[in-house]
Order: sequence, then C-alpha cells, then structure tokens
Amino acid sequence: MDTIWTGVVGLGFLLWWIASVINQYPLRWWEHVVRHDWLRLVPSWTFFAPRPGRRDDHLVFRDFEHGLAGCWHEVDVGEAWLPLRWLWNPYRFRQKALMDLVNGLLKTRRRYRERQLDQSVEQLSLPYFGLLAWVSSQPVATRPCLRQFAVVASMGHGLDRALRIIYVSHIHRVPDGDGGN
Amino acid sequence: MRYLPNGRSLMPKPKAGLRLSHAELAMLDALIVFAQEKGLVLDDDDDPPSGAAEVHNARNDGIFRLMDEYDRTVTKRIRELAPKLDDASTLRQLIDLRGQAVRGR
Repeated sequence: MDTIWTGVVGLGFLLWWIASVINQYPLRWWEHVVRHDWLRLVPSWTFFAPRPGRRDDHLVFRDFEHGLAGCWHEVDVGEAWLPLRWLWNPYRFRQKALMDLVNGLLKTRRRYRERQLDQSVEQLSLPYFGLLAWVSSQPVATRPCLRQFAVVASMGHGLDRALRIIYVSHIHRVPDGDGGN
Repeated sequence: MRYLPNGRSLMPKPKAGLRLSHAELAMLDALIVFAQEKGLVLDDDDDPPSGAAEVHNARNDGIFRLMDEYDRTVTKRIRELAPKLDDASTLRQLIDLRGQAVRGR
C-alpha cells in the first residue's frame, strides 16, 4: 500500500515539475491549460527573460478646440529621486498602473485582431476605459472639449533616446462636469 | 509603427529624466502624420512590453485572467455594438455600451 501511495505522490510531483518547466515558455496552447490552475500552484520564474522590457511608456493627450488640435501634454506619473528610488518611490503605483493599462490595451488589440473585430471596438475594452478615464481627469481649459490620447514609448537615454508612437486613441468628448454626458 | 527611419537623428536633445521634453512633445504630431502617411500600423507586435516580468506574472494574475475571460464572453455582443460607436463618444457612453454587451451576453 505504501508503495502505491509513494508512486501516486511521486507522480504528482513529477507532473507538477513538468508543468512548472512548460510554464516557463510562452506557449499559447499552454495558456489554455494553466488557466485552470486556480490554486496558482504552477510558478513562473522567467522574470525578464527571454526579452526584457526596454521601453518607458508615456501617456500624452491633446485637446481640440474649434476643430484645431492643440499641443500634446504628458500625464504626470511622477518620477522619484534616483538615489532614493530603491527605498522610497510613491510614484511606483502610478507608473505600474500605466504600464499595466498600456500592456493590457496592446494585448487587447492583438486579441481583438485575432478575433477579427473592428479596431473601433477597442474603445470598449477595460484598459481603454482606464486610460481614457485617466486623461479625462486631467485639467481642461474649456469644457466641454474633444480630447485624444496616445501612448508614446521612449527607448534609451539622453541623446540616444528614440520615440515610438505605439497607440493613438479615438477622439472623445470630455463632458461638461464630472461624468456627465 | 516600427522604428521610424532616421527617427533617432531627428530627435531633439531631451531633458534629463524620464518625462518627455517640450521638443519631443512637439514632434509627436510629425511622427503620427508620418506614420499615417506611410500607412504604418501603430502597434507593438514585435516589441517586448515594458516590465516583461510583470506582464508574465500578470498571466497568472486573477484580475488579468478574468478580464480576458470576460472579454471573450462578451466579444460577440461587442462586435454587434461596433456600429453604435459614434465619433467623439464620452467615457460614460462607452461604459454604457459595454454594459449593454455584458448584460446581453
């Protein structure tokens, strides 16, 4: 009897180990399997591998008045003082929020494209709501106005910094008053 | 949009720090117009997202997983709502539309 139980437990550990190894690779079919790991038993230790993030995301917006587009403004997510950033970085929450929303939006775009959905329906995704709410809460010179946002990625530092536009939103009305139509 | 030709050489000198400089912000229009004129698609298909580790962890994160599952279930209804998306919708109108999709699933 002990041998049987030893075998069962051993088999369980073996399957767990195999699942853990497979989970280190971004395999699409595996995502459908690991989705059912409700207890989060299968770990992921890849961290920055195999392709580390190399870009910083910036959320920018502009207003339209009388049909004319204004200047782009960047949403301030804060920037901690570099020497103390490892210890005290209260802006990290906003930076992480922006990172997650942008990545979520780009992921949504890919998923919707796979499902052959019209590009305009990205506006109904939750990450889009988050970004739109964020830029809508920025100061407005005159209400109501039309506002558009974009996500800009910067890579490198100083003179070597390069910019890429990775997302440009539709144009939205910012209502007269909070949350109204 | 992929890396723009000569994009680096066009970049004005940015200020120290992560924030975009005024000169960089002023260049965004030109970058967008250039991309659209060339018919380039604005996306990141071949670019690793920032914070790759966090994205990878998010794959195991309940909220992200639920969001994706939820989107999958309402995809059909969202597709039907596409024609209702007006130009210049407000955030509230968009949320209401999504609400219709969720209720109608």
